[in-house]
Amino acid sequence: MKEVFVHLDRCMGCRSCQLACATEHSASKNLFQAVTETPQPRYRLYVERADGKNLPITCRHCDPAPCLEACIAGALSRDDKGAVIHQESRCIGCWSCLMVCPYGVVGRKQEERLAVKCDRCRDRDVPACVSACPTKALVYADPEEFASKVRKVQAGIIVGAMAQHT
Amino acid sequence: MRYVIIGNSAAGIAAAQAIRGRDKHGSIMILSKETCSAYYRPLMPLFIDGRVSDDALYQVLPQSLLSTEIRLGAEVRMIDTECKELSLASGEILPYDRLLISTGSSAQRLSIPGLEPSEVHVLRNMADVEAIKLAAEGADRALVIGAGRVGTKAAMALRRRGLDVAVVEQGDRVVPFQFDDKASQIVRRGLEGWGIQLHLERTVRGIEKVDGKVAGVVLDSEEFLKADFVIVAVGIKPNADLGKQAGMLVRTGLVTDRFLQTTAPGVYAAGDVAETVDLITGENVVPGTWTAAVEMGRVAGGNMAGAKHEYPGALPLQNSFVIANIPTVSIGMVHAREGDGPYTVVSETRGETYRKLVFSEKLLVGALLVGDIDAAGFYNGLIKAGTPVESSREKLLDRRPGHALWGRHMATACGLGSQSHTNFHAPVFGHNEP
Repeated sequence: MKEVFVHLDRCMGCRSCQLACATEHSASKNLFQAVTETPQPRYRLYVERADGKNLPITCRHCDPAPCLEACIAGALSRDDKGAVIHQESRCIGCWSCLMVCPYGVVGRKQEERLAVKCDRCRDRDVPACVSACPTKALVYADPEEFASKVRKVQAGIIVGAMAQHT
Repeated sequence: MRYVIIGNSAAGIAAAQAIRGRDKHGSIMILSKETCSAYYRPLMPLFIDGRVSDDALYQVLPQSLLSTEIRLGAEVRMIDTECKELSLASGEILPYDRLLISTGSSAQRLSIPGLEPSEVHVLRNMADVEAIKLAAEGADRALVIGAGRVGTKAAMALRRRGLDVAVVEQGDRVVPFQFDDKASQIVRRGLEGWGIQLHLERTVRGIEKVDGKVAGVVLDSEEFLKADFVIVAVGIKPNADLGKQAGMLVRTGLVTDRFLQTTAPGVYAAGDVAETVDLITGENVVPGTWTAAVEMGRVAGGNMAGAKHEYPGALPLQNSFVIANIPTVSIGMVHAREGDGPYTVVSETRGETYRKLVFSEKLLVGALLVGDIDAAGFYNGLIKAGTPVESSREKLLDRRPGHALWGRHMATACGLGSQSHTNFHAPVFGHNEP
């Protein structure tokens, strides 16, 4: 099953992902209309900056997921693609999920008193944040496939270093 | 393998899922004393005032449990750990290979002179909530004894239905288990703002009846409060009798080891009935929260099906609680005061918001947030992971530790620094292979 990975060294902190996320989750799905919508569309991933590095913080869809285990209303469930999905009609706004998410990626729609989190864009093949990332810092890939690419890059670096020493 | 689970709620269902995850063929049976299907117990107050519908109160079982046999109205009389058998109230004998006791807890009752147990309501089971709804119809005044979590929630629900509600509490503050003085005062003002009458440091001494029906109560101050019905919410006690009779060790709850097995081989316990350790202090504790019940159910279920997962312990206090429209979060050691033993406290009060963090040397061990719960997840993560806090404590308390701090701690938590959060599946960040 595919997941969203982050290449930390490629993130410029442009927040295009946040913009795309909010737009995708707006009523109109169009940036120019989305900005005028009430309630305002919310993004579900957060680009933070620490020690001179940009850190896009995304929902991991953890397994086991603390948010899912803390939900007292049955509003969170895991879908067949492994994503933890939030069902607004069952949410009572008790914020238990928010309290237990160590990544801080469960947000609040204050006006409606509803929790809001990443759904990996169920209607899309590739999540909006990944499609929008101009530097490909966000990657939507199978963990195995992603790991193997990382290994290849590392192998290249090692071989290059060895060549310099001989 | 025959798995039997006693109790059809948070822990029992989580356990059944975990068993099915590891053992595709074993037979799983869940026994429920109640005659209704599984429901979300914490939603009951919202059911009283109609904010949660009938449908939303009941659990939707995951697909993986379609092959599980769920028997409603099946009360277990006795467990025979020698023969590995259960006897039901109906006389039926059920064999098991692995047993989970997730029988939950019951509401404590009070004995008030002149009041029959049937005339007092508690709020614990589906039958209780139905009875309260019935009593509230046509009633004008309700009295709640106990200003804890359940008492205040029940009071608010009845208030929202338009009843006059009085709450009598023997302690000097509301929700004493999870709030300190300052937090209680804010919540108290909130409750009073909704028109709930609070009588703190009072106990109910007697009952007044007219024509055999409850008409009101007399407090120890001689004050008389009119009431059409009375709800008692003075705490819960684990339903550990079944295990005790079968010879398992019981202190407050059914004592479990780090794999959540009781002192009887092959018998596990999870949820409100189980006693485990406090994640912070290591002391014995019965956590009694929904979250802990699901976690324990998942771990116990896995172990019943052959895994060897250790349960690290629970936070006895880990609650997100919205009362009188005030969001609050209490995690860990919220009562500690500056100078108590090794503890240091940073706090901030702005109008009706109050935020307090408790540290034990470099570790964050408690967070109490009232009115503004931003960054609750961040604090909860730090408390559970036991990650030392190197940065400024005041900054940590800031409304948005987001920016620099959150990022830095996240980096640590995700394995870019020291390893923690190992129980989370976190295949993130290119540098770190899944």
